[in-house]
Amino acid sequence: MINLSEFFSDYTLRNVSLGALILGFGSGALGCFALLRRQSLLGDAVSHAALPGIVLAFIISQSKLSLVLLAGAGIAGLVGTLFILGIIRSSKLDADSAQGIVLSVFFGLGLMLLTWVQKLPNASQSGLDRYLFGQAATIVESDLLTMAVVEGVALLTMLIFWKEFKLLSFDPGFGTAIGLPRKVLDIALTGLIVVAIVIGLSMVGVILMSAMLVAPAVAARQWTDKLGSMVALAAVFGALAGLAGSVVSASIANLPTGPVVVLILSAISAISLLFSPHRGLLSKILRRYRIQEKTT
Amino acid sequence: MIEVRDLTVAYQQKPVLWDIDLSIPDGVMAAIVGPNGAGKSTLLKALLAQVPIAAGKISLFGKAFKQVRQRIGYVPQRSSVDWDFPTSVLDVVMMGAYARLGWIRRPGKKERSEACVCLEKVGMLDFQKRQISELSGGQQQRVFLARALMQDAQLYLMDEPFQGVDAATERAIVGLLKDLKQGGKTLIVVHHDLQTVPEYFDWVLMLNVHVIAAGPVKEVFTSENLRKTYGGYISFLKEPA
Repeated sequence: MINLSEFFSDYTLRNVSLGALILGFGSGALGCFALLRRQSLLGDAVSHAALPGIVLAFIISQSKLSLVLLAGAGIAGLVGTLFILGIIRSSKLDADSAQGIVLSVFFGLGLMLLTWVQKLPNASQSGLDRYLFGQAATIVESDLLTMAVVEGVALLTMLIFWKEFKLLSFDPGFGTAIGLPRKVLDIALTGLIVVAIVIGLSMVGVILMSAMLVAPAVAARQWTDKLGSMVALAAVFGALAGLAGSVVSASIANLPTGPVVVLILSAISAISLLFSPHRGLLSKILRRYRIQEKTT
Repeated sequence: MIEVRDLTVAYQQKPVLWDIDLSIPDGVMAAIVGPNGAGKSTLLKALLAQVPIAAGKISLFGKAFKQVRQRIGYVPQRSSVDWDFPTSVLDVVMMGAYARLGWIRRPGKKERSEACVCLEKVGMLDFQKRQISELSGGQQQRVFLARALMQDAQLYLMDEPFQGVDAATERAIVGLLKDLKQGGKTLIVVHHDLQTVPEYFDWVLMLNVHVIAAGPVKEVFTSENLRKTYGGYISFLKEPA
């Protein structure tokens, strides 16, 4: 283990850990809404759907600037989302199947494009495959600034329309009855979730990104019964896991940051599911045991 | 006054409501009855402009729904929401004030005390801090009613407010609805229990995709109309009014 002051004076390590912290914070907070609206799989579909967008953005622009590629990812993610909504509205398929279809079709398309691009004779395309599993070490200071600004705007939007998003997530029927524009809010909230996903792609990659969204929310739900504290707690869990993950991966050779962060988040979720005071599995078992004691 | 002319609603080409003509006078407490799939909930949703209508016209207080939205309260089916959502009883009731508050503004002290008054009316004041997943079915229903009271409307549309509630809650809810009617409000309630229609309501719509009968309970709630509405399956019912 390296010591912490040494750690933060190292340019790359500082960038990586700050990046993972910002990413974990934003996706943890916004992930709560995805979870409560039963759209966990949507995150998975959107992040997989982003892959063809990344490759197409590269083919069109011949640039590997992360802003360009992420714009492509965002557009493809939104197109994927619209496809999902369209399939649900115009067919008898349910949300899960629609998300499954879009996920596999877009991801397949993305892999195909990626393979094709990589066989092209010029060498500039190398490195696109880092969007599959993410590569934290390539993050530079300008990336950090972009991440911080975009996450900041997304979180601010969430706070401004807090009451509307809350009602829409809890009782959309009542929300429309009192005049909330359901479609607009739906798209806005989904858009924020897409933003949170796209921001994380270069670090965590399209395959693991949905875990960054769902795992902190699942863990936070176990400890609180208030939406506000759930969102705050999920953000803290995400940020902590990001920080811890980058420290761990830096201190052990050849350990990639993204997967380590996801593993730490999974551990936090598992502990929360088992040991949280009211909703945890252990406390449920104990309660049942005590009732049996009393009744026999 | 609620006026419905030639209303047709269809899901995936299949008509759920067919050529509905209806006028419900102000100040009544009206039940909508009919078998499963008769389109009762769909009619409420059409009144609330929540489902696309294939044909026809609806006017509430002589106007389109959008213009009078603030005067309409809504109690959705209890099962339509996730009761494990992380929020408290008081929070849910305060949602009834969201339309008044408009965009961005959060509920404050005033809304909090209004919500407490509404909770008091449904006998749930002691539960204001509770997490909603800890409530029984009857308590959930009372919370939804308190939220509708919070809307302070003139017309209340309720989707099965007696579904799965205990006898005490049912009596409490009926008392509350009758108070609302006394106060000059109009209530339209999707209802399942035919036995209690004459006791609770003064107006009834008997629906089975078409309007079978509509009018004062004393005039139209007859065994012949019930047979037309439900087919031959109502022999268990004692002769109604």
